[in-house]
Amino acid sequence: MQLIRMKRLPIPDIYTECEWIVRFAMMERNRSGKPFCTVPFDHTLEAQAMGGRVRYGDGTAGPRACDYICQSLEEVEKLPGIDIENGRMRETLEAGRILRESGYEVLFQISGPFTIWNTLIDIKSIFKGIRKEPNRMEKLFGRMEAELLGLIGAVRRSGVRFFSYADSAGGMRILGPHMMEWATEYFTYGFLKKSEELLGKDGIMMLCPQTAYALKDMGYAQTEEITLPETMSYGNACLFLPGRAKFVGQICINRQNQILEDRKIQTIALK
Amino acid sequence: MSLKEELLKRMSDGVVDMEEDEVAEAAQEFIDSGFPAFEGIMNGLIDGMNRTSVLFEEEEYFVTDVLLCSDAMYAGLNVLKPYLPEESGDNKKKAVIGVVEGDTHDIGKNLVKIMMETAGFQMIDLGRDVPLQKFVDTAKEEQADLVCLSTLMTTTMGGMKTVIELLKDAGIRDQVKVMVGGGPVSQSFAAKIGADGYSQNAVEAVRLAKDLLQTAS
Repeated sequence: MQLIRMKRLPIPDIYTECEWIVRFAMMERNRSGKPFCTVPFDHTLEAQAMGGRVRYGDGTAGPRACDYICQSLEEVEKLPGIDIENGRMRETLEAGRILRESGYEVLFQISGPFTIWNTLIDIKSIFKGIRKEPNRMEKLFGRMEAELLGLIGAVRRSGVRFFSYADSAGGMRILGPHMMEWATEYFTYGFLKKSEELLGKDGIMMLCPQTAYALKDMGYAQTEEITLPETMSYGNACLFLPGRAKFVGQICINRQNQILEDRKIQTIALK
Repeated sequence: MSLKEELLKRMSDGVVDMEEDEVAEAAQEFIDSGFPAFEGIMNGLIDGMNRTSVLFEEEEYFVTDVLLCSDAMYAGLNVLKPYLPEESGDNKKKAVIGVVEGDTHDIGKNLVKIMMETAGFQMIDLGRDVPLQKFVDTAKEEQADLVCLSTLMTTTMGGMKTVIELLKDAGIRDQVKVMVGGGPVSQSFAAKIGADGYSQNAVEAVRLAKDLLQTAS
């Protein structure tokens, strides 16, 4: 936001127009000292590509949900899938491709189902559905899995190698252990396992530490350790991983400049 | 157990068990049997929410559980409320609550609102992504005792400080207490921006509000 104010960058163009997305991602990379150009800049992209309404904000706050477009689970079930061919999603995918072709590493931020639905419906309806109608919710999560896998495929085709995955609206402090277990069992593990194939030989997914912990705690994953050639930041250490691992989840991507003093990075192997 | 006790227990248990239909049914039976609505609310529904608060504090229940318990409580409240005698509500402490501009994460705010309502506060909920000036205007119009600000994002935390400054500019800072909360917010942040208090969760928020306004628990 500071950068937007300082440089007087145009809103909403920096979120909606490929050319501006590229410029903003490069500026943000240079300012932050991170090794990646990170796109998108917010967590409403997937929901918007499913029909959600987004307010782009101003120099003080970024894009966020407007009013909910769904009032019931029935309406969520009837939503279209993630449209990767049009609008801001298409522009963002294209920006990723351009950045890659210009030699930058790109980190594409993927949001989890709770975060996506949080833009589309009062999230309480989702929580209630899990408790009262788990079979119905399994189907809804299954559909979300297909949509997100489709998105990952499209991002990979644009040449991007690095992904992050987090679900801020579905964190442990919100869901509690029982619902977190349910979500990990019926969504997260299966989704990531299928993502593994799409990541291919050199794709890397940087998981939110909460997600990584839930997977390990439930026995779906184990930690492995890779020794780095020298002391480096977590972000730079991830650049060292293509071909050596598929998942990491040691540190939040927002703190990727943190130095790994012991020259070791913990990777995650799904079972 | 008398019929009244049995129905009160069904309402209370229904709230704890998140069974909306069961609570609404028991509340209707309570009214049909000629029992006073106020008693049903206090000794049935609120009792259930108080038990829920204890479970939340003991980490048996989590945010999602409390939200669903509150849905059950409101299902009962919808049945009982029309049978309450008219009351002005003048003696209730009034609080304006909302998520500051730029942020749409309202789960924590909703939880605080529910818990404070249960504890007897009159809550004016401005919702999420609330323009900062609106907190001040509403507090002024409603002669609120408290302003409760929530955010989950670091990028919007600064808005809390702005609200406090706007309250000063409007000349009402001395008339309202300001409470802040949310993921990135801390006691030291609250002190730094000149808020009157910070709470880590919804149960603490009720205690803090009572402390700040020195109301009986």
